[in-house]
Amino acid sequence: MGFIEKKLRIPAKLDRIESACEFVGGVAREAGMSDDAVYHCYLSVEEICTNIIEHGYHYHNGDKVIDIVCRVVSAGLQIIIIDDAAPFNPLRLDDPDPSAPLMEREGGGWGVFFVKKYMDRLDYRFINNRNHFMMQKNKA
Amino acid sequence: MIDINVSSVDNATLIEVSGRVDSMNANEMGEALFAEIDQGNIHIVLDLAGVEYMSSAGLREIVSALKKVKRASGDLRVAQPSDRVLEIFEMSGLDTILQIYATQVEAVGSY
Repeated sequence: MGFIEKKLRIPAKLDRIESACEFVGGVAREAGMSDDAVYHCYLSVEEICTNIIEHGYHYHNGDKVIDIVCRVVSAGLQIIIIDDAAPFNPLRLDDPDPSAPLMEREGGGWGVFFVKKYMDRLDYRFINNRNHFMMQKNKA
Repeated sequence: MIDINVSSVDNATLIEVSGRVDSMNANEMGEALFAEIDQGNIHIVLDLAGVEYMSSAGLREIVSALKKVKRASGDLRVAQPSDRVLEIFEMSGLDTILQIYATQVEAVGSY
């Protein structure tokens, strides 16, 4: 079965993440996703792109890029986020503990945790020297 | 883009935030909170009625400010979070740590 695919490349800068979110949100809306599903895609794209810029590229973003590929499939929307940083699988991160006392909280790690909660399927692959992080949101 | 308004109401310092709190601008909210704590204003109400979207970047700033104000024997209490922001608090367990109020009046009156 065929699918619709749309792509966007952004410079790896924090102030460009919103354009990636808007792009994915637009594709999700066109695909007939619910408002909640669009929001979940939007937030997940922000979290993953932020992690790439902060931890993958370490803000050395002069000529770095992030590619976003959206595929409208029968189940819903697949979002593939691709970067050129060192190989890193976010799914291997330990989840932060929601029951941790305040003073033991480091503050980080929640972004990927929210992505795990909001998206229906996640997959990481290192292909042609690039990180490929795939998130799928099913139609409600 | 976010707007931050700081005022003094009764015994509390009221910080009203509106807009989209994300990785680009969450530090602005954090800086506003830290600035008040540094000035000794440790009874803080963070009114999020105007925040329709908050990512983990915003959460991180709130946790940092809450730790700082607790060390100063104060508190940071949240008023009027949207359902989506409240869901972020719930998923992270912050709803069990933060005092969250349905209205600004209740939050300010809690001090």
